[in-house]
Amino acid sequence: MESNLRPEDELALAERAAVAPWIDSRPMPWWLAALGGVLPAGLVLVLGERDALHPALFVVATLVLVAAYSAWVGVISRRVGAYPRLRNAPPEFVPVVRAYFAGCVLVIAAIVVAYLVVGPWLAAIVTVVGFTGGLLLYQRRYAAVAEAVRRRVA
Amino acid sequence: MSHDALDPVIHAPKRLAAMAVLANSTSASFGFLRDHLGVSDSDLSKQMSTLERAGYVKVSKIRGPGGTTSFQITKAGAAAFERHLAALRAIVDATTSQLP
Repeated sequence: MESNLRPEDELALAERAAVAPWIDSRPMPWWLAALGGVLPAGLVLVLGERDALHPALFVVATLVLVAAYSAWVGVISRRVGAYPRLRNAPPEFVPVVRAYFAGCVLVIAAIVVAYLVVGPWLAAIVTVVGFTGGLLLYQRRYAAVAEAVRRRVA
Repeated sequence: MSHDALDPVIHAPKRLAAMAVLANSTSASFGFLRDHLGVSDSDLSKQMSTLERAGYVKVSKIRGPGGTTSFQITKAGAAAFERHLAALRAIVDATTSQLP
């Protein structure tokens, strides 16, 4: 056997490592959260104003925005480093994850309502405010919970 | 439960920690594991090669600029990790119950 640790210490080591995917990821800077709102808002606007745009401009703008959003997802993925399994979430994170998904549903519903009632410009504004604000709020709550879990497993 | 029930591949602390990370994530990057374990690139490569040879993890590599190496636990790895944890718990429980 290669371990000199006591079984209790090995279990504690495993417990700490098990929550690492939840607590060891780097926080998202504010500008990255802002991009997470601006890029989909651009897409909402371009799709909403498609009749007012030259067909070539519409295609180019859509492709650029989709590529930029894909790049944003790629950057986030590299920053995260490890994707935690939701079914193994530490109990402290369960309300945060639930609030995240509920927030996403609410923001999307607000975007759809804004689009249908007023139009694409308001829908784009709701997208920026909803996604950026939501991401920043989620990050703040997540960081507080991560700190509590860090203390628990320290 | 005796110490013989412990999996010698997972028993090393660095590999135990790596398996615990991977059992609780859908995938983890080389950099994340290196930083979490606090080891050098070469040490992590060595530890992960041992786990890969045992069939406990699989490696995915994205080549090119910004390319990444990431790891996922296999079904065999997840089962072996659970057995190892159960063996550890059994040893701890047995030790605790023998205390006066």
